[in-house]
Amino acid sequence: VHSAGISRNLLGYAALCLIALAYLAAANAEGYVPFASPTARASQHTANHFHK
Amino acid sequence: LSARPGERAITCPTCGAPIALRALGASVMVACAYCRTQIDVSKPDIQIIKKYNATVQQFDLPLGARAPLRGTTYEVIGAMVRAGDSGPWTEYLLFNPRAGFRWLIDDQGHWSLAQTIKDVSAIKPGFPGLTYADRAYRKFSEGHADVSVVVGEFYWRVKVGDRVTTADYVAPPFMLSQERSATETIWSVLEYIPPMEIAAAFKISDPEPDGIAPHQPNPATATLASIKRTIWASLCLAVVVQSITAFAARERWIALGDYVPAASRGREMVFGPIHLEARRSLNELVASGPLSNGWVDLDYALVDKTSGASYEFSAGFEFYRGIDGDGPWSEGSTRSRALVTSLPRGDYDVVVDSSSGDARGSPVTTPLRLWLFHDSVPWRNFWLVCAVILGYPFYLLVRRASFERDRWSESAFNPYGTRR
Repeated sequence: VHSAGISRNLLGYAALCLIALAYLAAANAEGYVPFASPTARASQHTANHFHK
Repeated sequence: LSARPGERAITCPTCGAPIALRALGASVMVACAYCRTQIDVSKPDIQIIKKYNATVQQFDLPLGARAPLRGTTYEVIGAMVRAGDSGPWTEYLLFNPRAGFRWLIDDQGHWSLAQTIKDVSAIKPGFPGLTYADRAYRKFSEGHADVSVVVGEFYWRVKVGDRVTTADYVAPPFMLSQERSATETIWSVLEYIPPMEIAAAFKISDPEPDGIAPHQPNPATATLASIKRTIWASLCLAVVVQSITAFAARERWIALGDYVPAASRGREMVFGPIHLEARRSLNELVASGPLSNGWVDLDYALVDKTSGASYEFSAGFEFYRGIDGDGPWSEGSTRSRALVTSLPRGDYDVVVDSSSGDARGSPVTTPLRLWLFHDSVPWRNFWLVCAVILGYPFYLLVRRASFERDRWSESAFNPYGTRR
């Protein structure tokens, strides 16, 4: 039971690391970082406004 | 109770109960399981050592019980209760014709398999206490042990009231135990056996251990050892991914021009067009200038000239300085930095609007230099992922330290400080 608990911890941790690495690869490829301040957003309306 | 092949059957001189001698030729005394009479079996004429009619002690493991432990099947041939400063514990004498004698010790639900060390010269002084079989042991306790109940057969004459002086040294999951009497000194090495393993081997109910045993393995240590490779592999992969990202990043400064907040007076100023060549990129828009005792709030819009999409964001900075009784002082910054994420490739206009104020409350007349740092390396992702990867190991390190403090809080030789 003890070794089963360790295996469960290992699997859970390995899954967490995989998710984190997948996030790193995807976010880097997209040029994304969290907590970017301020957050940019696309707005067709504002673009038209600026280009009047 | 009939004797098996290789055993010798005798009759208890007190109650007449049959007694099977399992470790024939090795045992020198046996205690009757029925009336507790202690009998000398070392000579042909069996003699009574001591009658013991106290209430029968209920042992968790009955005499004659057999179970596989660490690859060898042992039989319980004797049991005794000993008591020391920390309370009573039970020691079962196990026997296997090939492996010989072992001790199975139950101390408040914590079980250990012990073997007498024949070559005591292998025990050497060394940091932090003793070394034996390539392990360093630290002293945990010393005291005494008195035999209070004894039943079954033993390879030496043991009787109620026997007292030895003890010293224990730990290197989890092992413990070195020294027992000194007036005539001899015996060393044993104990290995911690998880209670569940004992319950499964002897088919008894799952014991509930009380507290932490001196040589109980630290569960966080085992978990840390199991994930060590995953930690390093994940960190290495993160470094590889980040290195590829950094190598491919363009990291190009694009000068946009000077912007005077007072000159715009509520009108947007357009800089560009600029070309962003990365497919999707992280960009930083930096504004800096020799601002003094003033503030600036900048509203930006990056407008894609092809699609018309606009990415709006704002940033500001303020800087004040002066002289007081303590001398010159200053606070704030003379530059602002705004991160714009996931900008698609394309040609952009940078539209800037602002509000500002100087010491007199008028719009700032200082020119600000505007730059766009294109395709910046997103280090924030890397540090975030490193924190996620290292978070669980860090938690385990804290748990491990807490477990060790709890373990050693019961010791008079606590390396963490005074006894609780």
